[in-house]
Amino acid sequence: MSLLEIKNVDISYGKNLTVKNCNLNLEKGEICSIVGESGSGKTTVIRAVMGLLPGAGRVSAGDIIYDGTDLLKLTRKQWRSLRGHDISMIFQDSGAMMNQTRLIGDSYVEYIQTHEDISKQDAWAKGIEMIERMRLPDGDRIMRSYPFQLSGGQRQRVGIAMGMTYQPKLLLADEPTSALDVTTQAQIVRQFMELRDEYGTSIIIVTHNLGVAAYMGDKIVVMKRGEVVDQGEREYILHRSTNPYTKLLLDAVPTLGGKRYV
Amino acid sequence: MDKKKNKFLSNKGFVLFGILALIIVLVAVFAPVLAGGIDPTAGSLADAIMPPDAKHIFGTDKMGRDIYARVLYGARISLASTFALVLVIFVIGTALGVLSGYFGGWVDAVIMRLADMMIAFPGLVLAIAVAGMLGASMRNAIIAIALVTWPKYARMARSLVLKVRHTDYVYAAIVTGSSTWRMLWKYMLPNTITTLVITAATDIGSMMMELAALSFLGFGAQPPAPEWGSMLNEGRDFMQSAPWMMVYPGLAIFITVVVFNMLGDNLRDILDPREE
Amino acid sequence: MNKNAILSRLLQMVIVLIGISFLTFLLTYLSPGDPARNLFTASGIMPTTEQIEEARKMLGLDKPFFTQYKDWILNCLQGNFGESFMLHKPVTELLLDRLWPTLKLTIASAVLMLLFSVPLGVISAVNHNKPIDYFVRAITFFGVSIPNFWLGLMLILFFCVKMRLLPVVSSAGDFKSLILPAVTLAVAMTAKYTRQVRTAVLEELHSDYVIGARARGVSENKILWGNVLPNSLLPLITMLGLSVGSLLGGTSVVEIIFSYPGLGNLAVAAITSADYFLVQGYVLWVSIIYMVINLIVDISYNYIDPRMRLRR
Repeated sequence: MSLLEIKNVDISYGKNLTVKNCNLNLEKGEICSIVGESGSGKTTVIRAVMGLLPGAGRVSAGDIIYDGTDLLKLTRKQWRSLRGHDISMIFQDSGAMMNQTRLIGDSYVEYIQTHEDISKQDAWAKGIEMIERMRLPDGDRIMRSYPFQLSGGQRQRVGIAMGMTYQPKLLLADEPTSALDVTTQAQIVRQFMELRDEYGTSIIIVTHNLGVAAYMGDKIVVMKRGEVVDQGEREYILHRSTNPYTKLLLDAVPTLGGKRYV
Repeated sequence: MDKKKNKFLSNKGFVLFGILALIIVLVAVFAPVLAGGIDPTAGSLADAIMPPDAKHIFGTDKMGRDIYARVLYGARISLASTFALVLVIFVIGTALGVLSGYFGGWVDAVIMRLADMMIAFPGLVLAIAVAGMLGASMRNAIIAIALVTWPKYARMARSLVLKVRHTDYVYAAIVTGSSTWRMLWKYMLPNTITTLVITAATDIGSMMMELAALSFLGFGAQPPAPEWGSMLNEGRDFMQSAPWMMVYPGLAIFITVVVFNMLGDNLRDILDPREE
Repeated sequence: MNKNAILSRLLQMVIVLIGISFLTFLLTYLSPGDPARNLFTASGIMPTTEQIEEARKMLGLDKPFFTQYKDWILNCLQGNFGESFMLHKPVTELLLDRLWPTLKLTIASAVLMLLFSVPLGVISAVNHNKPIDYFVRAITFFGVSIPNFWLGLMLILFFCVKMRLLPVVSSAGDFKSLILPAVTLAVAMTAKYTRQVRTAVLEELHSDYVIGARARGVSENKILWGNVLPNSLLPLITMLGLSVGSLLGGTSVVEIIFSYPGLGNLAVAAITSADYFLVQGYVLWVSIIYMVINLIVDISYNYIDPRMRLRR
């Protein structure tokens, strides 16, 4: 049984069908990249997995099964214990996903105390530990900062630290490196790979960057205008796919001396 | 063009209150007909302060005038003066705001300090003072309220202009020789129109109330003109003996304000839908 | 807000005040009423031309405009705002006398407003687009549409005339005479403020960090009470300052209806009798208070919001 099964899923906003017939299977310890242009629906899909579709969005058809559980039938209470614990999400700007008027530490403690019954000091210490594990030195200083006081790379690492606090089985990453410069991007990407190696976390990463998608993903899913147009193992997508759109995306990756660094 | 029409017509609230507003306007226009030919300023003391009956549906006031007719004719005064007021504020406020935002420098400083002054000034007091100085009349009431309210529009227009003032495309237009008039009219103004029209529409109700308030205090329309606010003032003295003198004019103001406020709200929903 | 910003703000205030004082002086100078004549007629005397001339000299009304203005400003700076022609008392004393009742009225209305608008606004925002939201919006809608003078009169009609529960004319500044005027003022303000609360909370609810917190499993209650509401407070404090400021200068009509012995009442009477000094004193005082309130609000806003504090 796969860890996550997205079966024939349609997602609609009111009457507008934005994602059609999406199918995706994710095994334990696997990394899957969802690639596509803006508006392809890739973010919508993982938001749907988390049950966080904004406004009038909803899954209008199909099933999403996580570890044998139908996610579409969960109560609010069940979601609360699942989110941030078994399934975590990392966003494009983790800093923006925290209250700008509170210290990072306060937001982190609030999060920890939602899932565990421990004191503020213990929670604070745990936060420091996770942050330092993500290669950010001086975790206490980070905890005592406001989100806007950190750099992009630092913010993403904090986001990953928070996401990994409870070693979730499934990590959903929504364009986690798109807002970063190239060097930091590389560092964060490597960080993600280590998560899979160390903790066996299954990851779905959404990105418009084919280079990142190819580097990270064991599996690649190509989406265009709300539909999955191609998917398969990395080797297949990169070298053997005959899908014209996939080829278009591959051709768009800049080459250097005739070699494509994907 | 069809798509635009649809946007307006598909909003049920807009259509409903648009019709109601139109009805009120028609009442004002056709007041003589609806009043059955009764002169709102004519009355004999013999008929004074009579409760509502078949002949006078809303009763009569202290001079024996028919209140129903006065309420109907009052719509003319209220609507006309309110629209005039809103128009004046809109034009002046927008113009000053656009100039302020576009030219910057001392033009901006002067206009904005003037605006600050008007805002800090207790509005009603200024209105009364101006009315007292120029003489109490509806025209002067309009001037007075306009003086106090234009800053709101000016500030809004100014901030909307500032948003685009320092963009590349504006600089490009200036550098390639667009005249100042063209810059103002074709580049700055369009950015402000929508928001300001919405503001003006939603302000119709409150402007109407302010005019009525001034008249109520005796600084706006003068008797025997049938203005709702001054009618309320006349009714005050007869509160215990003839409450109908107060109830109907007040109700008229209330209903009219509600309709126009609703219309403004719906207009805002159509033109500026920020809620999902 | 650092010292420089505060100083420049104070400077602005002074400039605005000078402008206001000039404008007021100009207005009263140009108005048709003659305070010299009114001085006599107020006591029921019909003055002769010589008497009026004498009075004008005594009041300094025969001097050129700018001289009068200069004298007045100099006096103000020394705390002397002149004397009321009508009531024969120093302006300062008259204004102080009436300041407290108006302040009481303002505070009472503001308290009533907060008491109702905050809960209503929050409930409305949290239950966005559900029946209770529509209900609250409908009520606020009517609230802003009622002319306050009509409402006041209706309330008097009902509570004083028909039900005889409360006195028609408020004499002493006690609770009974405060309640109806305060309610009248509070209705429109509550309606307006409830909408503002609702908008502020709704905007906060759509912030990114709310989604982030949900993704971390934090409960809706914690999100609302621990994060959204405190953050919503910031813009609401500014709006509260503006509301109170405008309330202070806008109590005139209600005070007149209820014969409430406040500043607004006095101001209107002063204007109608061309009582120069009183009018000018009133305008200056109210403007200063309004600007000071705004200044305090801005400073506290800069202090409370860490983004303002630390980003400089």
